[in-house]
Amino acid sequence: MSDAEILRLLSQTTLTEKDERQRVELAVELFEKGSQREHEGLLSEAVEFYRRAYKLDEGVDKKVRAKIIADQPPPEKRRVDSDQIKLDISKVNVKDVLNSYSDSGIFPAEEEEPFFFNVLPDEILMLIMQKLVRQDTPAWFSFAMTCRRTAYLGFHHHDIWKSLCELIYPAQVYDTASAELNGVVADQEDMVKAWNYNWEKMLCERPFVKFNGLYISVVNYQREGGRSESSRSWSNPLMIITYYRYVRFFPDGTCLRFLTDLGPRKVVPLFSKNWRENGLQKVFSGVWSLTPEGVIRIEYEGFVPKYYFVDELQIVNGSKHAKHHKLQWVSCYSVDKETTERGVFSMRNERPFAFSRVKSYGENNGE
Amino acid sequence: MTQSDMKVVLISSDDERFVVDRKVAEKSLMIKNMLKHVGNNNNDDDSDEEEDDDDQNSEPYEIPISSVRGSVMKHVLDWCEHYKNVDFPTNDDGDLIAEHPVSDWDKEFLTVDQEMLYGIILAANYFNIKPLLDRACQQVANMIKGKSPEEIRKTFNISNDFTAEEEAAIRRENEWAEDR
Amino acid sequence: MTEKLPDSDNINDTWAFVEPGLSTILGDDLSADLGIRMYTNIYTAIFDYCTTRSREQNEAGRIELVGGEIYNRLRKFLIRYVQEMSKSSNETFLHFYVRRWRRFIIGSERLADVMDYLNRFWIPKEKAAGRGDIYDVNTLCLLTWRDYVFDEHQEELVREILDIIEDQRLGKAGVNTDIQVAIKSFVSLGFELSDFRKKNLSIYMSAFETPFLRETENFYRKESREFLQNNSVVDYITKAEARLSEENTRITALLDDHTKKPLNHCLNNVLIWSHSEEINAQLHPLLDQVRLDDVKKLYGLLSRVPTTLEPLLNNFEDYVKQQGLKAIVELKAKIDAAEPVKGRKPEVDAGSYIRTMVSVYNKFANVVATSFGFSDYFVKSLDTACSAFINVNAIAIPNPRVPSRTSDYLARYADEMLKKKNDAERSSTMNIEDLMTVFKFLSDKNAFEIRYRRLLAKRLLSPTTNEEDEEEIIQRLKDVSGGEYTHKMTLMFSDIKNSKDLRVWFYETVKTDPIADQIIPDFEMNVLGQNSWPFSQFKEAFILPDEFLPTVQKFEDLYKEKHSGRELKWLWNLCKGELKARLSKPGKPPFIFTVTLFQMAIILRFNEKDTLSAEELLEATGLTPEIFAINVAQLIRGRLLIQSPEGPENISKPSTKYTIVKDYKNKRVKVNFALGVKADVKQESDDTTKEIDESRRWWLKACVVRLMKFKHKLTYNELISEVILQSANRVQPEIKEIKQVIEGLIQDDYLGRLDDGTTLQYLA
Repeated sequence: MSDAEILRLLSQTTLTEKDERQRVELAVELFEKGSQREHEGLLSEAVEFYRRAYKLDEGVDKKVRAKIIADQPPPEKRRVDSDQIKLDISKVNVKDVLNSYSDSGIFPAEEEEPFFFNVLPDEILMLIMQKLVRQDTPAWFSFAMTCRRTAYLGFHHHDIWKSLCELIYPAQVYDTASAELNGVVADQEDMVKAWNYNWEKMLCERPFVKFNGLYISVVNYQREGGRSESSRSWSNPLMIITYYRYVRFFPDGTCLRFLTDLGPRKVVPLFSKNWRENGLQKVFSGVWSLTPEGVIRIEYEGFVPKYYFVDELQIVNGSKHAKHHKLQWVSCYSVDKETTERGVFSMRNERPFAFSRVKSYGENNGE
Repeated sequence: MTQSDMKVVLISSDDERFVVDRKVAEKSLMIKNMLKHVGNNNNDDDSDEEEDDDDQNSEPYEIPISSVRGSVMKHVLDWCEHYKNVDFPTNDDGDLIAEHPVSDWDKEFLTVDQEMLYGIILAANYFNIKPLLDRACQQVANMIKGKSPEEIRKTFNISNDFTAEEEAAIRRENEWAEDR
Repeated sequence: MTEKLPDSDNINDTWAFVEPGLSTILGDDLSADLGIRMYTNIYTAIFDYCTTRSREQNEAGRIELVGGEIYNRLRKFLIRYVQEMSKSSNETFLHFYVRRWRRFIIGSERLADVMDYLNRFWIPKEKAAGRGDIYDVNTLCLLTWRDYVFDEHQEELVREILDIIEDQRLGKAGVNTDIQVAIKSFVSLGFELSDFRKKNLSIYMSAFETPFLRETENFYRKESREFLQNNSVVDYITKAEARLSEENTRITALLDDHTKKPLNHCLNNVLIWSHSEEINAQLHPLLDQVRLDDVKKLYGLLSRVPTTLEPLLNNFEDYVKQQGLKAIVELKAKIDAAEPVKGRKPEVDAGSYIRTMVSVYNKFANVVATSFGFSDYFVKSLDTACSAFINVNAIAIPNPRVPSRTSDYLARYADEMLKKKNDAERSSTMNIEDLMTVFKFLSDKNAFEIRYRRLLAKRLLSPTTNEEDEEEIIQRLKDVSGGEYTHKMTLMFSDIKNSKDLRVWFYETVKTDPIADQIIPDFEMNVLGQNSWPFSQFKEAFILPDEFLPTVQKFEDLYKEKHSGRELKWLWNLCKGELKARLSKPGKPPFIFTVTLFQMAIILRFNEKDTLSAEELLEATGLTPEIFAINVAQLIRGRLLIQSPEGPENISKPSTKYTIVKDYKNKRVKVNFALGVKADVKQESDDTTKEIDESRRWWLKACVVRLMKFKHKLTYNELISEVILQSANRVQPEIKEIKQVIEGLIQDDYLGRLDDGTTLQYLA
């Protein structure tokens, strides 16, 4: 709907006659218009839109929010079939299950079709598995998910976890001082001693930054809109603000940091080191380092040359099954380059980042 | 007779005889080590080898290879012949230093049915021909890449023997490790 | 052996198939042939077992590639195998050990290749999982050997090896390759715990090196003690050298390089250090007998143990010093015993004194070169000893508490040398090298400079000196003590040179002058800087004879014109001249008299009259009676003037008459009357002493100021010791003197004393 159409609709006084659905849709649309005006700096127009939206539907902000969330792309298509979600898997002990596969063989799906896969001894399957881990980690996952034997080899064998560790940790950019203090060394064989040679456990417990995707933080908040001097309205509109923070890390120690109202669908394909050529604006590039405890420190130059800015984020698990998936805010501050004085920003409204895998990110280095 | 002129006879499980240059056969570390030790009692070091070779009568070694059948043996020996003048450097542990990119010749060479491909893998494993084993395994890996588990099963005719709960649980447990 | 391969699914079958071949591989007997068929069968059986029966689980719940069962059986097999090896009744254990070891290392390599599949897959995986007790096949073989052959028979084996080495030392046994192989095996059996592919020397050191060193020490302790009881120290030195080189050959042939250091330490200790006192005590006797080659051997041996060299150095230093002092005492005794000449006791002549010292130095410099290989330490020792006896000895300091006279002798030595005309005569007895040798050791070089310069001044003003040598000496002194040291002497040389130019210029200038005919044509004036020349002003009265006035006046005028602001003062007392005297018989050439200017002034008066009174002469010349007396005395002695009445007491009496001898007789045409006009010797010596004292005090003052300017604050004692340090080789101050200088500087407000009373501060 064009602005003109909306205004025309609004001018018709008999809104109550509209059916409910149309009314809600219109309210949402008005709200979005308002939000758009606000971003363009046309505050009084924006307030007008907001006011009308609330008039149509008091709960419009929540509906808008729900819509935004629904609009977000699932970062990568989850290969969970819908019927499996209904399965009660909470009581399954995966370790036990994998252990029980130790004697499983590989069997043909169609007896009539040719089938030779079972001639390969475990050593060979492991060689293949190792190649996949190194070359295309999702392919390893898919291969391991093929049958019990491959699951047993692919998820249960310490060599796989060792390979992952040896791919992941050496690519991390550690803060030199704290890495030294904590005895972080490049030789993972040495590191794993602290986990009693349990590579999987080390991978689960030692935080790391992921490179084949980006971290997104979605922030919604409401604030009271300003009333214009001349307004005689008694009501004071609430504004709902949605913005996004994106961070993408590179193994060379650089990172991109982007604060915008643009949604992931727009940002993700453009968010690379070539962001300028890709038409993005106000992306900050910075450098990052990681402490052994999983605190990421991002340092970047802002608009004001007098200062540099620091974000500190803690890597935490998203859930029991999403290791090292979230980044929680620790602090955010500016530092005066001359006086080294700090100005700390409030993080009250900020939300944690969640990791989203992006297939294309894993394939190149962000060029 | 110099070492490179020497012939070695490999006899497959189906009694096919392959007469090849020693140099070609020695692409196999297993054969190479064996020839180093066999018929050479006081072999302290490699330098004795040539002298002793000269002392050998011209009767070539016959080596029975009961684990490899003739059709596969032919293939493997073709590969050895093709690469007989190429060195594949290895480290202290005997691992290849670099994963060699699979050449066009190799791609062509490895474009065989699955039965033959696995045969080559097993033979390369037995003979301890690391570059061949590596390339053949890469070929299998390439067949897996980009496929969903279901597609992989189809490709290799593998039966899905998970229960639905197990599959979902294993997936949920390990999915995170895909991201790195 | 069965031709059919075993059931690859069954460990018992597989092992039963493999086991008989393993013994052949390890080698029950060297001649047993390892055939292709056997090799392939075992390799294949292991391969098949591992690849077929590929699923197995260990207690930890982790997957394990198959191999554990075979590995365990292999380990047990190896233990049994090595335990069942037996030595034949007629061989030594060493021989048995070496025979089996040689075969075993070949066998274990073969075994590793036959069991390649275990090495390739199972073992690395186990190790990666942190299993520290799993080893690759070759290492497993060596470890089994270590634990069950080596460990159990270690004592027996090492005992046999050490016994053979002792027999070799005693010359009872020759080269033995068995011990070489056995010792090498100890190195092969030491494993780096963190990486079993790496070897270390743990076994070699604990099992062999330690007892080897212990026995070596015991052997040589006993041998050296017994040898020294029955032989001379010099023979012992030869013996020890031979033993050392013998043992070093052994290291290269038999032992690991690591042993080199501890073995040499042990040998040095027992062969050298523990006998170093006896060896050291031989230095003096050997030097007495001039056995320089033996001294060299002695030094060669002791220099292997640097701590033994310090006593040797002290020993040498003492010896040189003693020899130096002794030589001088002998010289003095010889001179004291000599018959007086012309009633005068002969004095020490500078030549003999310097030569004596130099010959001692040269003798021991030769020892340092021949026996001590120019070692810096011995050069230094020699220098210390020489400066000790050169500055302080029976001749330099005949009575206590007088300054050393060596600088005086040395200056005189130089003077005598330079005055000798004949080069050949001079170089045989005196030369610049010797001069410099002694100069180097002189502790009061400043005093030498003053004395030398005084003598130099006189030489420069007489035509006899050899300029080339003079300049060489100055250059050499400068090389040793720096430009500041020779500054004044250099100025003196240039004064002489400039004066020559000046004279040329003077005569060139007056040529056209209206009074040119009144100028004396060969008037040789020298213009000398007052600061560099050691002459005091001539302050007595003197009336220049009229004959000189135009020349002197003209020269003064022209010089002042050329160098305005400079003042010329005439040193009449140093002037000499030649007179042509027509006193000879007719037809004979006139006499040429060399006279002082004062004598000339006197003689010229006799052109007017033949007889003059002293009063007239004193009035005409303006001389003091004393100077008149000295000058006229020579003329009287030379029978040119006749004094009346005679007698020295009448010389300056106004009434005394002098008459010139008209028919003067002398065999020579040239007569030198100036020679006998000696300056006041005592006065000059006093002047010199005074200048030396002043120069020293000035030098100390400068030294203190320089130090304080640089350091700002120093305690009294620190300052004094710094000054002494800096004064070395230049002046020999007494502490009292330094204190006086410091107090003087405090009074002059150059230095201030801080409140603590001991610290001094520099005040700008």
